[in-house]
Amino acid sequence: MSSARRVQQWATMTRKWHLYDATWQDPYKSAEVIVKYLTGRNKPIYAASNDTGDQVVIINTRDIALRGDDWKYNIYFHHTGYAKGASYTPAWEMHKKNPIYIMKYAIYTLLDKDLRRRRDMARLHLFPDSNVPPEVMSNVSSQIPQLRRVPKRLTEFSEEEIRNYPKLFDYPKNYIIR
Amino acid sequence: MKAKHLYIFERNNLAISRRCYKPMYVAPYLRELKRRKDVQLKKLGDFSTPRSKYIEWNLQAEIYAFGKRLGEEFDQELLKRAFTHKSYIQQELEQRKSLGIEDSALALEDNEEFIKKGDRIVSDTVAKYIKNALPRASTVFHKSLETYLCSTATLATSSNLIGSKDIILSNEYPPSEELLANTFKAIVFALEESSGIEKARQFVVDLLIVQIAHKDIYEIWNPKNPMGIVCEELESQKRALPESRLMRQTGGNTILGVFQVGLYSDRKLIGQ
Repeated sequence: MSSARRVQQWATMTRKWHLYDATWQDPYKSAEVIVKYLTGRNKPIYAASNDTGDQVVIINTRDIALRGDDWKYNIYFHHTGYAKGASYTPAWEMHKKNPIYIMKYAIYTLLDKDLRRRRDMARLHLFPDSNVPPEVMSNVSSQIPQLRRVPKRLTEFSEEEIRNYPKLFDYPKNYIIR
Repeated sequence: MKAKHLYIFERNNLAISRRCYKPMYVAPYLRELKRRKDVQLKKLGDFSTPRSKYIEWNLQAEIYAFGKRLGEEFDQELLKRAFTHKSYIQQELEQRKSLGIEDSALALEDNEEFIKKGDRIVSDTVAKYIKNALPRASTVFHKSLETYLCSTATLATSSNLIGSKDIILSNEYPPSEELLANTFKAIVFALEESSGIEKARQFVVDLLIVQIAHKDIYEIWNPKNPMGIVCEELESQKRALPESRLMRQTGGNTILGVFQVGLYSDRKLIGQ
């Protein structure tokens, strides 16, 4: 193979590192996107028998958002295998114990239930906040865009921004708000 | 030889695998054929007979068809002479001698002269075409392309693909690469004599130069000092010397890391 073709081959077959910020994101919808990157289905060179998957680093998994009452009513079932070994853990308690678990499990259940699942999961790196080890962060070269926009809370606005924000109307100056 | 073949089709993210079934007798039959062939090869060695040794071989018809197949007007005598090699004439003379016919006035001429003149036309056409096609490239690059195109291997490939292998009159079979290459040159000269220099030039372009169309250029031209060549080119164009910068990287900490480097001349990207 000539040097030019060798370079093209290496660049095509490379394994990329992507970053995903899970702040305020739905873990199940995010999992659909992330699974595509882990399996390599985002690439035109994908083939089931080939290993074309990429690595994904997910940060801020502590700040994910579940819909409605899911934090209260989503139950994670586990049985130890022994008598009286069943346990039912609501999502909020699971998240408190392990802030990575919900995101990880969402991706794990969405992957194909075959031998490639464990291999693809090994390429997933989750962190509860933005503290990522430098040896992992130095590999990252791209970012997967977030699925929903993160809203700016009122507490995050500075006083100057609030003062200068365009208003339709305002209370008169001598009006007392009760 | 595999009895079953696995075909995998991907459609709408669904992998559908199909199997191709062959009857039970196919594999043993092919195995027996191979065994017999191996026995024959061991006994008689690897040999092959030219088409001309089989029945219904009409040399005149073949030569006429050869010309028509290529869409060219050939003088039949010249084309026949182009295919006749010295070794064939010598073989014929020896055969006649062994049969006792001493009066050896063969009405055949060899193609030595044709080869020399054809070689000149081929190299001339190739040189002019490359210079015309790539005016901004360096002479070193031109020369490497010319050497590749005029090499025995390339000429032999062209010669083979137009079907001269079966028509060549020579004492050796299968014909060597040199023989095929020489025949090609002789044919070019025969065409020049029959239809004119323009037709001959077009023939060379259509059947020889076209071989580089699908080739990877770095397999033909692999300079030992590419950076030096780049520096020379930029200097001759009075541009700034090249600087390399890291453009992109991924997985720098891993074994499969990729680093994409760009070559800049005066902050303008010239290659990566």
